[in-house]
Amino acid sequence: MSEFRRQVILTIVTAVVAAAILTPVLFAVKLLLEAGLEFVFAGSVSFGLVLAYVLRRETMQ
Amino acid sequence: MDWELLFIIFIVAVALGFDFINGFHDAANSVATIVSTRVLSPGQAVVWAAFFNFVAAFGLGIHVANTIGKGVVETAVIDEKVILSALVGAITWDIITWRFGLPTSSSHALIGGLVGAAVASAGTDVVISSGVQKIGAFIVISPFVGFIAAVLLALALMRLYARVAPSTAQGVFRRLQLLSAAAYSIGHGTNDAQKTMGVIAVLLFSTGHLGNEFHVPLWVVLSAHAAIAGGTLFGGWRIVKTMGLRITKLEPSDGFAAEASSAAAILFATQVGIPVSTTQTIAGGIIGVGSTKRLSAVRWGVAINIVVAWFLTIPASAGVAALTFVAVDAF
Repeated sequence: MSEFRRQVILTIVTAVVAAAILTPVLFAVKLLLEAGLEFVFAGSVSFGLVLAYVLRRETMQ
Repeated sequence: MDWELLFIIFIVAVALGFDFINGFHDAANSVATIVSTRVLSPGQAVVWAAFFNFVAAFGLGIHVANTIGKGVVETAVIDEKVILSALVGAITWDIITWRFGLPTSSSHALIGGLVGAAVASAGTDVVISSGVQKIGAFIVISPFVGFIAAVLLALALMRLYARVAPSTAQGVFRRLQLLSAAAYSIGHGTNDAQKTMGVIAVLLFSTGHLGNEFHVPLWVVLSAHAAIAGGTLFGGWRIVKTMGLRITKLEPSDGFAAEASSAAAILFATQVGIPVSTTQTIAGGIIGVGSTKRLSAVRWGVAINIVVAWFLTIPASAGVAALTFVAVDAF
């Protein structure tokens, strides 16, 4: 496979992966926002902090 | 032409000036990652961002403009003096933070200015608490959403590219970053220009120049987007350096993850009518991709300075706006 074709395929796959990651995140934010401002606030802050904690543990090793 | 109309035209010009400064101050964030990863030169990147700032005028609605116009303070108390004071408060704070290279939010400066001037004019009862609470909550929510989305995307990309040759990955992300920067500039253009549109529209509405129903005229939409795009063209290189280089070191894949995540978060907020800080959102995204390497890869001192400036913005701009209102009202 030529380098150009490989890059084109990877570009498409990457765009699909980005959509597959970002769409559920925003959908979750929308659901939380519909449930109430306090839910989206608590949900995003707590998940963000948990994520930061997990990253800290993983990247320290 | 009567003096009142001349005064309104002057305030519209000041509002567009604020939008221009917003472009100058905030839009640099649109190009920070693309410049720091050397996908485009600073000049090319600024033209790229300005073009997409303007393109954002078409087809993305005016939900944020409606929130600013009708959802922050009661329209009944808004007059020329309140809007002028709000703009002076916001512009003053923007210039101070630009001078110190702090990427604070022009949006929150404007909202703080509007609240401060309205309270100075008619007391605290005129503040629409549900609207201000929602905007206030998103000061914190939007960078967290940018952070979460960027972390998840960066981790997925790490896994996807684990066995891809670095030169191939480099080629892919250089192209994709052009798209993510364009998407971010569209998000920035629409969310931020709509704040100016909201201010101009509520001024025209409250002074009887817009008929019986609040709406945003097309000339306001186009002029607000032209002003922010013009500001972007002149760029704020000082802030580009803070965002793109001082928070963490960026690779093209990191730039793509940060920009794509931030663009998605900003466009989402725009569709649900929430004015968010585009600066805060991309800062969250950049910190997110930096954290996937090592938390120590993020220069937390710079990040903390930025956070402190965020929380000062609304009180500081509200204070300047209130003082300006007292001075203007005395005349």
